[in-house]
Amino acid sequence: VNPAAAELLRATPPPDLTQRVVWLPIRHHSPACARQVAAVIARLRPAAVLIEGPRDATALLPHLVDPALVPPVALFTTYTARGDGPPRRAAAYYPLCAYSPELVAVQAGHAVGASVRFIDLTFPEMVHCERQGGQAAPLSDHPRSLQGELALRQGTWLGHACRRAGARDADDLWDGWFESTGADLTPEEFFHGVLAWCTACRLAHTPEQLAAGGTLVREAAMRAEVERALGEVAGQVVVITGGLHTVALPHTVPAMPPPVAIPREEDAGTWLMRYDFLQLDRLNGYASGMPSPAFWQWRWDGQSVDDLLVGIARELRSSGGTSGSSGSPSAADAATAVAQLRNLAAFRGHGRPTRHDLLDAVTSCFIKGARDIEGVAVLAQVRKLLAGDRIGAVPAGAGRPPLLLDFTRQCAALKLKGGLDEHGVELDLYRSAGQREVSRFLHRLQLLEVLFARKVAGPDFTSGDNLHRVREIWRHQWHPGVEARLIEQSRYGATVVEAATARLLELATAAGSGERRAERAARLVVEACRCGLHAQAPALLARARQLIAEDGDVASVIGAADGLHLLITGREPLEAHDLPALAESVLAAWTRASYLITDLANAPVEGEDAACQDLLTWSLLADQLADLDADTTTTALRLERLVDVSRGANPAVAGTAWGLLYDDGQVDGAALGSQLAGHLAAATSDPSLGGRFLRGVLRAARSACWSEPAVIAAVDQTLGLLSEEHFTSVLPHLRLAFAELPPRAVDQVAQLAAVQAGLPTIDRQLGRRHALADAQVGRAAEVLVRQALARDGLLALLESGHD
Amino acid sequence: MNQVLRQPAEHLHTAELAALAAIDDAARPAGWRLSPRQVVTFITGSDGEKLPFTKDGKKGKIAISRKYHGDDRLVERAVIGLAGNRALLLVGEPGTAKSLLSELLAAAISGSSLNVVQGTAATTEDQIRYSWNYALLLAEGPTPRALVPSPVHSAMSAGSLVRFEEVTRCPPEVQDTLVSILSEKMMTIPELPGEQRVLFAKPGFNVIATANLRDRGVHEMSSALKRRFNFETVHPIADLADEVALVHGEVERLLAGAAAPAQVERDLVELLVTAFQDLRTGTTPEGIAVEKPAAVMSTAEAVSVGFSASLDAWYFGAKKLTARDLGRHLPGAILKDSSDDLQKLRQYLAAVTARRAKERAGAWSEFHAGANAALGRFQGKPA
Repeated sequence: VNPAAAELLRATPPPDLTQRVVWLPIRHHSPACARQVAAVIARLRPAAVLIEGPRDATALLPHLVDPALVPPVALFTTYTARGDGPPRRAAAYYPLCAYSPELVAVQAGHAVGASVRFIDLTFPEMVHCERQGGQAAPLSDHPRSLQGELALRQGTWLGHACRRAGARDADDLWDGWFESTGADLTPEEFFHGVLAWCTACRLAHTPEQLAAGGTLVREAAMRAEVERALGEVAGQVVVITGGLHTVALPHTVPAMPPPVAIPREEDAGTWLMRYDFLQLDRLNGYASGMPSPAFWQWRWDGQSVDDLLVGIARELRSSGGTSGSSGSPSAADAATAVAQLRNLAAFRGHGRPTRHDLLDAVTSCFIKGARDIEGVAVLAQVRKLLAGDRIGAVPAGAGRPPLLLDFTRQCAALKLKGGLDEHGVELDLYRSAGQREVSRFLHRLQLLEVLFARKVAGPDFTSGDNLHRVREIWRHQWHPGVEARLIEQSRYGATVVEAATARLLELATAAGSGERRAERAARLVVEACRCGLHAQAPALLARARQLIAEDGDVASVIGAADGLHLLITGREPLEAHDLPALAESVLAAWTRASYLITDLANAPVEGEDAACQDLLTWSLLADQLADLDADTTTTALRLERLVDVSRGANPAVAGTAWGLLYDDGQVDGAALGSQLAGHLAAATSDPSLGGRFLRGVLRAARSACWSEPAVIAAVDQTLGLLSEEHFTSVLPHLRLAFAELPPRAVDQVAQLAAVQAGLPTIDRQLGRRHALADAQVGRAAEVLVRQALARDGLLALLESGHD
Repeated sequence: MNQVLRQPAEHLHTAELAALAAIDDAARPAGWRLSPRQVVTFITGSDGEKLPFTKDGKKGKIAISRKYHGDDRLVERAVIGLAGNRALLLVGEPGTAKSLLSELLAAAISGSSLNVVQGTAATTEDQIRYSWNYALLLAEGPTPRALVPSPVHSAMSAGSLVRFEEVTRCPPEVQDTLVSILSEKMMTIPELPGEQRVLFAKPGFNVIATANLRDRGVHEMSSALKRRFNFETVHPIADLADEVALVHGEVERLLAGAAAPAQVERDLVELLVTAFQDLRTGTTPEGIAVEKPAAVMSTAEAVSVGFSASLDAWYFGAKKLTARDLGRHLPGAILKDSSDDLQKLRQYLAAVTARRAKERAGAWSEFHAGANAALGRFQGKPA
């Protein structure tokens, strides 16, 4: 017996199970606590069982005792705080396994006919009192655990006790003291020990720390709920709370915090959802301890840890390499491991082997090599096996919002598999109406930000990427986050279609203001069609047309025209080509863009790449619209505007316009060449003009450089006339411009330039044999030598020698 | 045994072993001198507690010193595995006290750590089984008297532990000699007549091997042999305070043995160990990434640097170890066979110790200067 523990036990009064109020301290997810809680309730047959947990979850109790319930499940609670600024959302889980003391208490209480209720603050109340305590947990989309009990795992006393008992950490110590031998103790002995543990942990905290976390407010509220229950029932009342609270609750003054106003009904809620062991393992890893749920489930089911170890050996063998090598234990290894497990447990005084005993047996017997090399994969797999893959089930209709039910129904109808594994589906958008339906369903979920499926390949009609593809490939996987998000999004509607529609309309409203609103509105029309929400499309299109007419941002209007045009090209997948007034809308958008197009010519340097791209998109659209437009105004308008843009201030955009004009045959190579030469030789302080102009040209008419000798000639002549200094300042920008060409094209250009310079071939190795710096030194040396020779009147010698 | 350079563990700790045997009232595995609990206590110590015992009618109290600084759980697993008759293979980087642990286990369990096979590339099967005294063999023929037992043979006859150091340095076919010994627990001696043909191991026989799996010049192990061992990986000490205590203790012990009691301050040992941990783990407490040298930055190496620097101080200095002495001896521990290590050490000095010298001055500044001065000797200029 640990001396420190013995001392603490003496100092802690044992729990008195004969009192009117029986306070039972527990640790979340502790099977030993669960067993003892069940034993106490069965023995005392109390009139009421009060459990730490959000008060508003009391309404869900009938479902927790429903035989159709299969743990693990979780209470999921959300809260949207509205104040100044944007609304902030928070969510939290309260997972319950078969061996959770809280769930066992609910079921045991129900069995003896007790009045069962949860007594902790609701989640919104908790968020508020934390904020007042100063320790504001950031409100974030990332849900947290309501069962945080780091406090039960820290403190100097625990550290000391671990050292004395030779335990690795507090979890190890807990396993050794309570989980492995707890079942052999009477409830009085057991809870006395737990209370002593928790007292030590409580003493490690200052009142300020406890107040800051909101703990004191919660305790006062729980105490108030206990008082209320005492007034309502006649018999004994059993109060089951996290041990840290049980220490203080009997002496706490009851007080309820002021109620939190929830202006909108959908801003707060608590639901019951199915959960899984993998998530529980992750959540518990940092929140409440007790990782490896499959291990505890195994324990709870009364199965021997020996068998679990043998099962692990078999699992490792079936997935591992050759027998006897690391990670593929033989039957003999399994037998040795079982012996090692039993001996270790006996040596450490554990009545039943603990989780660490199991991991130690695996380490000793299944790893054939270094633990940090061969052992990594083995231990990772064992941890995964100990985490388990069990998924819970919730009774039909039990507090599950209709949206979730609709999701489940639709998944079944569309044959999308559940389970924790990832599945893939391939959807032919053009030929199969059924598969199109699946695609639409998955897009709706994406619109609702439900991370159920992700598209790994396929056309994207809202961005216009990969449109040549005809199939979509999706990967989908169920996880508790899917249900959590669906519950949160159920404020949007009762079915996936309804919710997606509401979300779409919300986005449409938001698109009415802010940056690039015309484009956003137009893309939403595409989104509506992609999600199969065609009913909304006409209204959204009308709204988009209105915004196109208002929006003065040329990039946004071009984006809008491009987006709407996709509705025409993506006939089968989008089924929107017969949308009323669609062609007119595209034309209207394009025409408006044409009037704004000269804005592109004044784009700032940092925006010029995007501006060039916009110009190209606009120009391409004109060609495509020519088919729709009976009269040829688009073609004429396009040329006219291109000429305007080509005179603009931004050299890259102007270059693009020149390139487009050249490509159309509107200007010849010589004209393009002289423009380019003019920009290169520009007598401005900005040496980048020529390079940027060239880049613009190359974006629109890449072939101009190597198929047009006039262009090369103009450039060559100009460069020859530049001073050394001017040339070196221009050079980096030229390099940048040519960097966009493929290597073969660069070679062609070089060849043409060599011909211009009168060289028969170009030495491709030159750059490789001589570093740039060497070449520059050589060049400088040549200049000096020439000067010296000229001074001495010997230059003629060099010239003649050169022949 | 007092006049030897290094005493084996069972002589060094005779009193502790005797006291633990007197305290021990738990069941002992067959052939063991102590129960598993007391073996673990012997190795990990009693945490300063004085344990009462009665021996030869006299009462006494003894505190058991901690002899192995590292993972106590590993010691437990190793002892329990041995108690279950499994052979033990300790693997890990050089200088992680694998051999020390195997010596302590043998001393506590069998009372003797002297049955040792030192594995090398030249180890032969004879050295694991037995060989002959050829003069007697010629005179008497194959008799037990003419047989020269190997340490393994002796351990089997006596029912004690045998240590096999560096088992992976032996060629695989020689290693595999152990396979039948470990599974059958017997050795056949075909030359001897009658019952003497087979040597059955007495209870208490077992093998503790040590191996380095990744060093140069080591061989693979056959999976048949691997199956017969429980592997335990010995890691370098992660805790700074533990390692400082160990290095400090060892340096002072070595200095006492060398009759050169130079004064060694704990803070300086901490500085040395910090530098070793930086280079071993590849990152400093400040979070600076350090390139790990190829040389092994083991605790044993830190002891060696501490010891040589202290000797330097005792014979050539002010009889008191300084940070400059430590700095001067650091490069010698790192610059061994990889030429890249010089560059790595230079970078460490420039990025880490130079910064600490600036921020904390004092010892780090001296240490930095000392190391730079010593490095100067390697390339004629300071880093």
